[in-house]
Amino acid sequence: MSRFPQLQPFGELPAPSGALLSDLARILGPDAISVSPQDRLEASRDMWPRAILWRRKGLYPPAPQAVLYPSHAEDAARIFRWASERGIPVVPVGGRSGVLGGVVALEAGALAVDTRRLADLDPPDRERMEATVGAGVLGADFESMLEREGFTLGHAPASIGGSTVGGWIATRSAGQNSSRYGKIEDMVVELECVLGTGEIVHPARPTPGTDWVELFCGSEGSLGLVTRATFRIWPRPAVSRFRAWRFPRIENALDAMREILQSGARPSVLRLYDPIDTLLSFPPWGEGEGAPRRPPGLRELWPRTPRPVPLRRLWNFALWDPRALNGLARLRRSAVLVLGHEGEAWEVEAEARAAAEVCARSEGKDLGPAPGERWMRHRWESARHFPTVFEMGGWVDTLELAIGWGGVARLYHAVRKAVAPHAFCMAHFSHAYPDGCSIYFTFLGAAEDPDRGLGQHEATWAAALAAARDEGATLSHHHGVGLQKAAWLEQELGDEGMGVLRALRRACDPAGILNPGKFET
Amino acid sequence: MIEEIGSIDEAAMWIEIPSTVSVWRVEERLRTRGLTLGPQPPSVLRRTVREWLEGPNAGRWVEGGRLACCAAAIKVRLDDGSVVRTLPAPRSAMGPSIAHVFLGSQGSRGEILWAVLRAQRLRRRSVEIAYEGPPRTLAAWLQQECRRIEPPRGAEIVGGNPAVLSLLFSADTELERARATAAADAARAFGLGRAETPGLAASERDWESEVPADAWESLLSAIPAGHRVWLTRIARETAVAVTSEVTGRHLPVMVEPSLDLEPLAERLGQALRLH
Repeated sequence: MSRFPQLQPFGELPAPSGALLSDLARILGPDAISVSPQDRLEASRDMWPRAILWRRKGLYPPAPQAVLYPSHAEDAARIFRWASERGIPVVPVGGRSGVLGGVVALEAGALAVDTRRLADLDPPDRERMEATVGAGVLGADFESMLEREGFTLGHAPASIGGSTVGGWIATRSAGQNSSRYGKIEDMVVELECVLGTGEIVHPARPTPGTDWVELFCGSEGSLGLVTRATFRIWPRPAVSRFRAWRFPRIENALDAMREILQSGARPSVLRLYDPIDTLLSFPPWGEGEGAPRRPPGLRELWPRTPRPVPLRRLWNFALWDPRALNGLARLRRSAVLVLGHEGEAWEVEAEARAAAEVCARSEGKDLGPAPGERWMRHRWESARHFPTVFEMGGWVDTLELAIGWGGVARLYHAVRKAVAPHAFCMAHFSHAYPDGCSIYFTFLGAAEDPDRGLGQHEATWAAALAAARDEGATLSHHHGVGLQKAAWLEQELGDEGMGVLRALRRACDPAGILNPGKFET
Repeated sequence: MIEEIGSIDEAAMWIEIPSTVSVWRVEERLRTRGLTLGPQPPSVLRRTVREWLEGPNAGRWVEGGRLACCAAAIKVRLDDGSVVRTLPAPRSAMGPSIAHVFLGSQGSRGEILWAVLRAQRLRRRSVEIAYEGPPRTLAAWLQQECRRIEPPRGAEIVGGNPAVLSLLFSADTELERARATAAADAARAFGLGRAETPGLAASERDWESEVPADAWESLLSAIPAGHRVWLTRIARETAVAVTSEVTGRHLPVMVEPSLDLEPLAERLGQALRLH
């Protein structure tokens, strides 16, 4: 039930026409265009696990005719006006860390617009406590600049080493401190955005009437290209403190999370691990030595050399039919909640005391600061395990859903049950709000036989999303829609909601050139 | 006609309501369950839910110090009679938030029929602290206090030089009480002098204007001596100033829409009519 691109076997890429290149050179200058096969192939993919499995079969999504590198909004405007006149599809590409195929073109003939030269990175406005940054700046570079200036954005997604600011906005990204600082759409003050028509607009807050920022956030390059953004920023916290709690059951911990947030407290970290994720995230055998301390870049996350055959066989044997492993997982019940508090000393102390009282009332057992401090040291590492799984001949994928508090536990159990025949499943609850929470599922499967692996992957997604829909959850919390979830968008918005989305697209991009095929069923 | 207010989801603090109900009735109903829509200007409480959501205030409230929309979901009838319904969720990344096509649109893109509104816990206790000093220093103090995760829930200004600024904080929890203490410490650090809280004064509150944070200094400086202005729905970026018609004549109106979005808004309206 997903919409997939026309795959092609690896081979020589057809050269773009001379007329097209000379037009583009006139618009942008020759230095802002690449037709190198490597650049074109790289621009055609992101970290979509399904595409990694296709690659194992020697199949690739269509590569763009050329990769264009605008340096300013005006460059993008000229490209879009030119492409609109000719009906040439344009796919915006940033850090390519997306996991749903959002930058994958459905058909050949598109142009990729790479945002990485939209790289303004000026010091923040201290008076207004805001920072303006080019959409192509890597998240880690943005946060490092703010850190040097004594500020933080409060946004730390696991992809921060490889994702761009524009990508965050395009997908409505969430970071590890979302319970205090919000998601990326909560942080935006103003956007600079180039519509498909070539118009440059500046949706800003606060403004009376329509909040256009809410319409460009999550638009995945289908309404316009975000070229620059201004965010609210915060002073770097003076104090931070961790404390973890073990709960007899997930439900106790969810009650505690809800109570903490509804009381008005805003912990910077509020992460609940289900029993299996608890075991893997806080293993009894300790944390090992020499753990890397920085977020991984995209190249570190791409699978490389296959692991030895016996290891791959063992993995595939265990995961071709994951029911036994999922059954064993049900024997474990307890779950660990990690709390992080940051801010000024008075705030941290009062918030930590209040949260501790709530956790104790919900039958939590105090584990002290060590698990949280360990989480902080290792927080970038879970992403590094992803390529390992593919190197073992398996597949791994993640799904992030959200629902009001009344449905969180039910949603968790429903998705686990639905997925159990298809993939090994674990989850954590890492983005919580006063009214509800996101669940981040991780699915593991076998793919030594890529066709069978692709079938297992598809069945897993279909089962998980159908269960989530039936429970009334939104089918994406912070990864966006891409191609993997495109067919499910209508399930969530309905025919009429899809009509509104189409109207919005027509208004922003009448020629329909921007990321065609996305947000369509 | 009395419209029926729908169910309250106590876990999520969501209330389902037809849009013809007045915001005040919603607030009354929420208060019976220990919930509230939070501080709102008087004009919002006088409106129906539909008027609030479709009007310039676009259903805004303050959550975690941030100005946001309190509608978790809406149901809208378009010109052709078709009905669009969005899904209530704490947050979503299933594309753009299409509810915002209609919120704040003055009804020009569709008629909001029904909504799920977010609520927050009603605070039972509060503490008020007042300091006096030059308007410029008071504005700097106010701005600093609003740049915390939880801003004051209300403020009262008595104009003059020195002016008096009184901030209102919730005081149900230890964290909230500590917050008020920190604000008082900050006022002293600014060199402001402790003042008596102005106390309730009978006054018409029929003038309102949204005032962005970078205009708070101008606002405080413009209030004539002895005149009072209240701030409500205070977020880091903006607050709503409320006062009498007489005082309001002295005050600036600040927030303007982005003009470069008008052609897009026009095309969106046309595209929806063709829908």
